[in-house]
Amino acid sequence: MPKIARLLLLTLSLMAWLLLAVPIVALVWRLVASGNWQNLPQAEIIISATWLSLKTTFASVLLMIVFGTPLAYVLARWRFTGRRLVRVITELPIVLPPAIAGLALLLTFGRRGIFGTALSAVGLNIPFTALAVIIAQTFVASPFYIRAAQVGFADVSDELENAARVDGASEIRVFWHITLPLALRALSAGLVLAWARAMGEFGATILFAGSLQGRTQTMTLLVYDVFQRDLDTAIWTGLILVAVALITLMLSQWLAREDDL
Amino acid sequence: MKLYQSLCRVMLIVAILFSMKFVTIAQPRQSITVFTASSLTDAFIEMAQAFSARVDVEVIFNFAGSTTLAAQIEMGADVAVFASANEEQMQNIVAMGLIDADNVHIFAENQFVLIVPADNPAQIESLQDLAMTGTLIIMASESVPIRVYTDELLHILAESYGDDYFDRVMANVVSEEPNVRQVVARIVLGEADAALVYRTDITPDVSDSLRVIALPSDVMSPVARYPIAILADAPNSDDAALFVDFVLSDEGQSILQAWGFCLPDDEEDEDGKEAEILTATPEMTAEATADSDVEVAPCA
Repeated sequence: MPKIARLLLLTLSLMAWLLLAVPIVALVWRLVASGNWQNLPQAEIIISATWLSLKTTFASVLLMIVFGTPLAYVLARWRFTGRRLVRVITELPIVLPPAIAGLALLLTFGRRGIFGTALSAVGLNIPFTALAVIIAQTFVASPFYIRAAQVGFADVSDELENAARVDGASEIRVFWHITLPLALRALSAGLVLAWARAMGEFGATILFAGSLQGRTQTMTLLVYDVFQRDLDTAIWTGLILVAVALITLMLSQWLAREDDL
Repeated sequence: MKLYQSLCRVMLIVAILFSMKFVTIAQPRQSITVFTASSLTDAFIEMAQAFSARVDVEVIFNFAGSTTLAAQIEMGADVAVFASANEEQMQNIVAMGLIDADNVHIFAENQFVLIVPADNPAQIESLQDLAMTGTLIIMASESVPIRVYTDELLHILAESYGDDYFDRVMANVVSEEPNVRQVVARIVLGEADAALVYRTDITPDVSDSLRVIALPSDVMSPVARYPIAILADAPNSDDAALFVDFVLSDEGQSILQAWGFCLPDDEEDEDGKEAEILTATPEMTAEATADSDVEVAPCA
């Protein structure tokens, strides 16, 4: 490769990498440079938001496992007309702007939404509650899990399953003892990514659930709320989220790599 | 390899052309950047149209909450004029030496109204009803100027409605929105029962979906005052000064009135220019309120 081309390649790729890396460094640097890293400025609101984020994302992940796993299995194994359409709709939230997702959820579960009257009749008002946060997170993040689980289920060879069937195993036993264990790593990797996406959820949550400390204000909403009046609190919360993102990304990559062996 | 080389060459040429494009796009006309509080959005868009019709200067807006704008200015945003929805944020910028205190002019005032969805699901008729258990109230976040006035107002009301009034209203707050327009949107959508907003937020676009309940005249509600100023190191400062003058002129002031703003009080103004504008306006106040399709109480 000629020298000039190598130089160009190096310069362009370095610029791309710096664009991705420098903002994260800036986040840490600002805290260190201002000397404010020793004192957590508003510890109790950070803790309150972190706790809420953990609780709601835990619930979202549970919902994903309970409802997302069967859907992923059906999409991977069953052949039916319109399967492609069902799959596209399932994965739509991955590319849909979250604010649109929030608006759509509001028009579905809001007081004036499609199910609004029915929900009000049973005394359920979803917007502005932790349930709304959970629904928003599940809507936005579950496709990441469903997609990964679908690939995982599809990769399990049917020879192994058929062998079990020949030996007289019921369909349920085949699933529990053959399919699920073999797909588990792919499922876990997908679940970790989906959880990280739920932790980072912002647009759908603020539109659908609003923002109130202790009730619907998750970590990302806290950052947005306080960055104007208390930059240190915003940065601290941001750093926790960066750490969470780093750990989950490494975990999910580790899970995925082992899968190749 | 030859292909690769020529590919690199093409990329290089594209890169050079691309950077030249940025250099050679000369501004076809002069422009000024105006950082404007969200509550001024509609009035200032009309203001800019009227201004650009007079002077060949394009006005570029950045609309956001005053606190956000102040933070952006502090971080070194390239801005010529700052129009804030409260004095505190303007003073912060003055204190940082980015604006000369003599250049700050109060150009408008705003008042409170209580809004509920058109069908008023919680049957709210007065400010006292905000304390009813189960009412879904929306407020702006603590960093938004209107919230400071709202808290002030509720404390004033607590004197007549009882000591626990403030706490009971606060217990009904279900969401704190990042700006006042989003507070209005919640009520327009009917997702919540009531909110306290500026009278100017009841724009024609949303007035059909809302019922406006004016505050009783005996309530000494706090008044939001809007300051405008040119930045000390404003790019294109002559044009920026022209724009500020235009906002303070009779024409500018009547645009603000048409969008529901009140004119600043006499006594508070030391500036001769503002006093001059005020003397020319009593008949305009009547006209603007009469023409408006928005039913809100006239300026106090």
